[in-house]
Amino acid sequence: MADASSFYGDFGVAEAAARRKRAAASVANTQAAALGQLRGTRNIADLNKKYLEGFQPVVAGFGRRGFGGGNITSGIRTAGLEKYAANLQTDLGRERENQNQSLQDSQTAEATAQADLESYLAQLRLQQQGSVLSTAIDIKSQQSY
Amino acid sequence: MARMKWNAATGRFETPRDNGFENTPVGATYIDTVTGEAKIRNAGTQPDTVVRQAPAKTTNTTAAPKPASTTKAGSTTSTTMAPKTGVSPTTTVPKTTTTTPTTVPPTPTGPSAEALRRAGINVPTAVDTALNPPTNNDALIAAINAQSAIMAKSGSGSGTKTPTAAELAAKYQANINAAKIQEQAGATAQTQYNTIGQNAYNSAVNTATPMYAGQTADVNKYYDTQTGTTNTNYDAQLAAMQKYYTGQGAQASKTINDAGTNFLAGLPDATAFANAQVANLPQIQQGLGDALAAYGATGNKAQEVSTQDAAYLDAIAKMQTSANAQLSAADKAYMASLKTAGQGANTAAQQALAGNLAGLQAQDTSGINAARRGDLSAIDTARRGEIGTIQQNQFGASSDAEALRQSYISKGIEALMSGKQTAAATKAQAAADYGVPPKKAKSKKTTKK
Repeated sequence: MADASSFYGDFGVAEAAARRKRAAASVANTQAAALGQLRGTRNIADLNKKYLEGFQPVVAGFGRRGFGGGNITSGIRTAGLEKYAANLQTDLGRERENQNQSLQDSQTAEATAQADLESYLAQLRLQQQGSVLSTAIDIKSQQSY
Repeated sequence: MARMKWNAATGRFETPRDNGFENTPVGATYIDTVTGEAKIRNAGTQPDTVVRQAPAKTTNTTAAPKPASTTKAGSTTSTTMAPKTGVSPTTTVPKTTTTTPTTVPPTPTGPSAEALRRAGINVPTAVDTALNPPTNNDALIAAINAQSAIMAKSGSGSGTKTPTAAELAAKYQANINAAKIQEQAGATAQTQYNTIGQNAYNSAVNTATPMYAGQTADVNKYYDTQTGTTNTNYDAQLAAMQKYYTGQGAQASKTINDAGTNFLAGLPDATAFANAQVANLPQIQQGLGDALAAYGATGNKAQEVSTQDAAYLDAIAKMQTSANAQLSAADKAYMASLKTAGQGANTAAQQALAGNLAGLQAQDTSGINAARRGDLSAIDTARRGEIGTIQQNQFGASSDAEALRQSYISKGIEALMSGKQTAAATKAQAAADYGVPPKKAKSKKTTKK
């Protein structure tokens, strides 16, 4: 017959292992979130730099083709520049979406890991209780008087 | 001088009267008036030679041997068998005179018999006589004849005198009286045998009864003690068993309760999705506004794109929040179900514990009681065996006492019958020898008118 204390010990080891695993997962999730945010921030900075540096060449391109220049306002150039700014905004929006998604993934992973830990611990305690109860009521296994 | 002989009439040894040979010269023939034999007189102490047997008395030599004259129980009753005063000497003719009348005198009775006994001479008692009847009447008849001859000689001085009718009647009556005494002796002996037998029976029973009662009491006391000790031991076992299981039950119940408490205390709250964050970072706006304005353009289109993206991210965040709420609710429900399961397990464990304890208690109680019954049965069997042995012994003792009583009763019956038989023989012999006297005519009373 297994002694109840061994179950306590086993359950303690299992719980500690689960909590350790959970902590490791939390660290990994945090790192993943941080990396995702860092990557998004860099991408955003790259996009802004690319679009800012590319603005004057776009304006010059309209001028060479005869759409504006000097003090002349061209509807085509205006539309083209606004389009250029909208593209920048779209790219920035996608990158922000990526950042959100990365962050959400990490948070979801963290919550799921926590939920798994809680479920595991609950199951473990129920099993522990069942073992204790089985031992307690198993008077028959003791030496009959 | 002639040899002394026993005289039953006087109860003493006397010099016998002339029987025909006292004055006979040596070598002459004479008739022995006592035996009726024809003899030749011899000199000195040499017995006379019989030359002719007595015709009617030849059977005397075949008489039954003299019975042993050992003293029997109750022999003291012989004193009561003595002939009464006035009884004819023929009443002393017992069956002990089974040898020839010349060598065996009639059995002395009365004070003379007591005197002989005191002198160390073995004299049969009346009971002996009654208990040992002769095998035939020859000796008795011979003795009666001898007595008759003696009496005839003493009366006339000659052995050849013919008795008168009165003498015959007297002799007949004397024999009848002797027969009555013999019969009465048998009856008295029977009564005394019965008394002796009853006393012996009572003594044996009175001795055996308390002894066996004591043995029975001892056996019962012993086994009562054994029974009490056995019951005490098994009662102690039952009490110890009850105490053991009570303690076990209390400890197990506490363990179950503690397990339930610990389970509930250690059951984690469902906080994972309740506290989950939803990512909804703000939109980044493009930074070409001034440059666009310098060339007459605006950021309106870019703003529209940003507005759409923000709406999309907001929608995603709301969905994630909703998902988290549902997951949190599911987790809480799950934890609640685990809590319910744990509490149910506790209740079931308490019930199972009670059932187990009751079952084990019943099983052990049954075992203990079965062992108790076995021991008590063994004790009872042993008790019944010993009581049975005692009862058998008591029954045997009672049977022995009854057999002893029956043996005395049987002896009494034998004495009674012997007395009757002897008396009948005496009467018959008297009738044969002397004839039955005619009955006297009754005197008629005449009344004068």
